[in-house]
Amino acid sequence: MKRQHGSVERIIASFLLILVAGCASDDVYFEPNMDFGSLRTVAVLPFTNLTGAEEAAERVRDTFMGMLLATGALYVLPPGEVARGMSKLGRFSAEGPSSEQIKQLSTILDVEGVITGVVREYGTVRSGSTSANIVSISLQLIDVSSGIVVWSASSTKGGVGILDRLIGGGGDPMDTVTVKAINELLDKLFE
Amino acid sequence: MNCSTSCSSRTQIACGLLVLLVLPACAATAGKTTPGEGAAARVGSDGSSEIAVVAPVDKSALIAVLPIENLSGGRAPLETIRGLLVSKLRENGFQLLDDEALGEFMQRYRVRNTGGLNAAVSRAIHEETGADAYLATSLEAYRDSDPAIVSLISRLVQDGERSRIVWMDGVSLSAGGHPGFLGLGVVEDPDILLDQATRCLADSLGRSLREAGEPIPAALANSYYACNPRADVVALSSERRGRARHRPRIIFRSPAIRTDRRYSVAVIPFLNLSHRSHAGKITALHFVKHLIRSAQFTVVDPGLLREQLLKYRVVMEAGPSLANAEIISSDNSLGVDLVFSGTVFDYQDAAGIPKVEFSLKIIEGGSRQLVWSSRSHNDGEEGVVFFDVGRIYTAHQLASDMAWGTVEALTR
Repeated sequence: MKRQHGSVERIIASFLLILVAGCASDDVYFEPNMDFGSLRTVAVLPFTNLTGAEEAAERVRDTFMGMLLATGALYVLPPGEVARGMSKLGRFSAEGPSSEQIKQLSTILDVEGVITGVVREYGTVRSGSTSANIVSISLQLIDVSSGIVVWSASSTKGGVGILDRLIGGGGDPMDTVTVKAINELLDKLFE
Repeated sequence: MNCSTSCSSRTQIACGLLVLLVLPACAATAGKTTPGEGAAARVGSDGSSEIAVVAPVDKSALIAVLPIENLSGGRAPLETIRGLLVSKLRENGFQLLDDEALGEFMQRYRVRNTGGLNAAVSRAIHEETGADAYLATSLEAYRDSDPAIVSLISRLVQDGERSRIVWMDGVSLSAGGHPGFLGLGVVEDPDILLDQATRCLADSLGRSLREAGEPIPAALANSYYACNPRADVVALSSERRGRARHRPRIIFRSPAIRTDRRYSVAVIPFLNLSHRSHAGKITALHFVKHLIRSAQFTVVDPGLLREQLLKYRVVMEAGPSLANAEIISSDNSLGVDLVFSGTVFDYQDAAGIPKVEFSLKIIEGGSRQLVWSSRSHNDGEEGVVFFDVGRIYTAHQLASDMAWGTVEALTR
């Protein structure tokens, strides 16, 4: 009987280990040779919107710019200035700029880094009779001197959790979920 | 989701009982206040300071009432509103430029934008008609049913060599704004709302000029709507506090912003990404309204700003660039220290719960630096504790509170 208990514990422990390993995500990339302390001014390009929600990318970008500025670690150019730089370059794709375009843009804007982003999900998800807001963002920081990606991370927040299923409530408001996701991204940037 | 929609009937009964217990206590306290105890008594009890604001024009000044600017995004009885406003101003004893002379002047100068006058026209209206000031009124929202809503923003601008805003206020009335017991306070007729709204504005202007210079408790600055007493002439004071929930959620403030110096500012119409037409212009007006009450800022009239933006052909697809800000703040243009701009993401006032979301960015023209960035989002039901107490019924009031919260955060 005692022996049986031991095997059950082992099975539970193995199951938990597999579960925890499955949950862990290593979605942060840092360029090992990059001196992040050298970055002082960055331009945040318009994010790519892969969602059906109109203006989702602009909302997330605006929140991200404000929160990045609020950290006091980096100076972020105002969006109007970024737009001026992009229009000066003519055919500039904010969704997938080439290294050459990044370098040209940085010369116009006088920045050390350029941040691009993709909003992958922004809206309400439904599971059974429960619904909740969800946002999923991925960002990349490009070093303008080398033109390579030096940091990349993603974050997904919100969605229908166990508590939402049990007691309902609809989850957090969209803005709160967005702030949580960006907070996680900033933690990953400054870790 | 909040208590007003989710409270069970049992909770509502409990809330009602609580109110019944609290109200008599309040009534007893209120009964102790005698008519003789006025503002001075309140000052003595809470130790707050007093404020006196001197209006630069008096009631004998000749005022030109410009046609109403329609920012409602739909059809509205603009002539009727103007007529009501004129009659209410006359009742308050104001001297108004007659319509014929104003019409001739506007035709002569081909004035189409009635939301403000440029420098040349402002000078001309003073020289040719003798008007000392003009009243520019914007109809922010108008709906005649389900429920009826009227929102107006008005400002008095001293014309002549350099236009200067001397008074500005807004009013927003909703049919269901004060439903009262069993909904007896619901106003179904939009004409009644129009009458009340125009009266509020005229009274507010009348008070600001009549009572200018008289000291009042700074604490009264907390009530600032057109229909509330004396709020219109009160500058921001240390006692003036908005609701914490209407302050920005995210703030970046550069150490370059000092609270001990006076800044001249221009507020550019916000970039409008919402579905509500004119939301960017409306939000900018709310900021102007609160900024002119602050002792820390001198605000350039939107009419003059518009002229400069047209003159330099400033196109701002994503807000002002640093070069745009530099142009606006140069001595050849407006010579301002700070350029306010922003983006409106949401301005819901069509039906249901009002919701407003915007961000503000301030660029210092001289240094070409972004010195402030904030983001605000609120809805009208956040303050509801039980039933509909604390509910905000119109986007006008919500946006005004949020602009106030932002200016408050900026000045501290």
